[in-house]
Amino acid sequence: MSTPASPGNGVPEAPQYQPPKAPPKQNPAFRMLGMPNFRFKLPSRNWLIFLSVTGSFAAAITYDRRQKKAAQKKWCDLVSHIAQHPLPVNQMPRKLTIFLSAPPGDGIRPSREYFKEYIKPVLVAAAMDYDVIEGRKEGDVRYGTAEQIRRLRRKKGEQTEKPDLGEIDPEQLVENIREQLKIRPEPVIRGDLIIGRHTWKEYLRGLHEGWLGPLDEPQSRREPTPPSEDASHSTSTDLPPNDASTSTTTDPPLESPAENKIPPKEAETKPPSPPYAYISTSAYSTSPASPNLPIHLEPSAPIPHRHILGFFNTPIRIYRFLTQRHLADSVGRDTAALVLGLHRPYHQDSSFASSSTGEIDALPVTTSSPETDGTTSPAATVQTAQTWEQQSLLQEEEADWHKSAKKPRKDDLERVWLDDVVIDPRIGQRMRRFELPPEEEERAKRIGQGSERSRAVEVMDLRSEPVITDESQASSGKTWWAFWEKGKD
Amino acid sequence: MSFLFGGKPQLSSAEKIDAALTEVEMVSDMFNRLSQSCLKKCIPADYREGDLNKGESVCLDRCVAKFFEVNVKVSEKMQGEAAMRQGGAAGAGGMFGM
Amino acid sequence: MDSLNPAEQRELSSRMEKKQMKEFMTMYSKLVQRCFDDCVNDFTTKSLISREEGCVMRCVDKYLKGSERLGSRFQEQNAAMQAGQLPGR
Repeated sequence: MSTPASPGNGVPEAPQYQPPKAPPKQNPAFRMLGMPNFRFKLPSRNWLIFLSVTGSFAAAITYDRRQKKAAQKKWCDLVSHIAQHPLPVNQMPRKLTIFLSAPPGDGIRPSREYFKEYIKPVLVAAAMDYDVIEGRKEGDVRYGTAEQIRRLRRKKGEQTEKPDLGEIDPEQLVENIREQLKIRPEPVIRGDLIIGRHTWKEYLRGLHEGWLGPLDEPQSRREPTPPSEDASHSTSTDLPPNDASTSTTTDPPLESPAENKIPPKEAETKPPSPPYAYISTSAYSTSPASPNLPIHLEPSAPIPHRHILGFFNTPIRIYRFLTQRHLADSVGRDTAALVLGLHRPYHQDSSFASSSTGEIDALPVTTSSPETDGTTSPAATVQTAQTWEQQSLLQEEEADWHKSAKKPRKDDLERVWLDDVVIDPRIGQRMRRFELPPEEEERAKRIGQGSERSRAVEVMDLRSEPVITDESQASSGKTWWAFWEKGKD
Repeated sequence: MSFLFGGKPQLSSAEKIDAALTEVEMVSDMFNRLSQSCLKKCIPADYREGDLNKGESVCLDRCVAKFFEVNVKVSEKMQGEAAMRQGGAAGAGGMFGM
Repeated sequence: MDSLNPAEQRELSSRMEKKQMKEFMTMYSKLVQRCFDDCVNDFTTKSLISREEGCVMRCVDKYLKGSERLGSRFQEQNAAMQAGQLPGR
């Protein structure tokens, strides 16, 4: 009911009567379809913000994972025809060696997961067998590699002091049975797959130590008493800044046992693990190579493994989380190159390109004689040093390493990760690298686009074929053996 | 008999042969089961060619290794269970026995 | 296992031969059944068609080679396992 709104009344105002609003104009198309009068409304501003942020993040992840799967499938399809090649019963399939090591500052689990996620699918698609050499701390892979090479040398008959332990080794037993049954490995080149710059450095060091070093542990390393100071001095002649730290770490156990909880006697009897290197980097050029050194060493495939830690690196980690497709593509390419088996020698630069010194700055590297020692030199000194491709590979990973890797170690083992890579020409020339041939690269691109299929034949399952009991059930020639029959009958 | 010399009691020849045969039987039984399982799992029913291909060969090799591992693990577990049960029984019976 | 004298060894080897024969027959019959199950599906005619014949031949080939490979791996693993057990005993 309406009441006059006059302020002088003293009666509280009643709400104004307003005639009912006409309903908003309906969209004639909806009216024709018989749909109710529904107005589209956007959600509120806050909801819009929330949905757009989460929606875009989810879309980025989904797109990235789909592309990653597609990239991995492309590389797997490129090599899957190899799994269908026949293999005689008395041959063992091609066996690779994988070198895996814990990244500086972290455990080995991330490396294992990286291998399983990016590298293993391609190896499985091509039915490759593999053997893993793992390393939990700095120096493990170096020792493992060198020990394997030394074992090979001993088997080939080089003189050694170590007594033969007999056949307690189960691997040796298996080898013996294989000899008896005349089972040979497949006559193809094998290969080494190295994951990460840190592992790559250890691998190179181990390779040199194995082929250029002695077969038995040098006497001077047995006890970590004063002779060990000489040992640590000889390994670190090229690292004066570290020398101070190594000598200070060896001195306290001898001079001030009160400082150390372990009495010096116990420190003497505990062997360092992994054991010291049997030869130092500066002794490479003067040491004779093993007579069993082959003309070509096993070709190798170094795979990048960028691993970054730290709270303030979170944006970089988020970026890498959202762009795994590029990583999957490049790692897939490297692994496919290894599987397909084409290899080339490593390049060697005769100019003193200073790009390889990188972050290991200003460590005065002593070189004995420029032409025999393949070390790099700072750009200041004019030498005709040769830089090897092996030295500069994967170098950008060193920027990612956690700072704890650069701290001095409690035991005085050499810092393989921090030292420059030293390549002896005899080993450097014999190393080879897997590379993808250009026609395979083209084929991979076509497989990725969908214009070419994998060279593997699809596997049928005869067990699920229907049983034909009369003519009407006979297949209409869609199966593969219809072509077979046409040719035969 | 030769208990005078101590050590293991001498088995008669029939028993020795039986023991040898049982062992051979066990081993061959294990091989048959392993063959059956591994061939079923690893060789798809395609029969496009008569040779084994690399994928099947690698699968067979790994199948044998895993079969042996499972064998070892199961026997360890059963030994552990048997020891536990015996320990429980001995503990219960020891009170009355001694 | 205690060492056996020659008479026992002869007995053992004759029994083992019989066992091996029996095992061979078992394996043969299993193989026949397996290849028949997988390969033979067309019952519109009394004799094997060429496709089925080829399939059976390849099936037998494959299974024999598979058994051979399994046999060698089995030998290796068996020896390794026994060697691993010996120090423990």
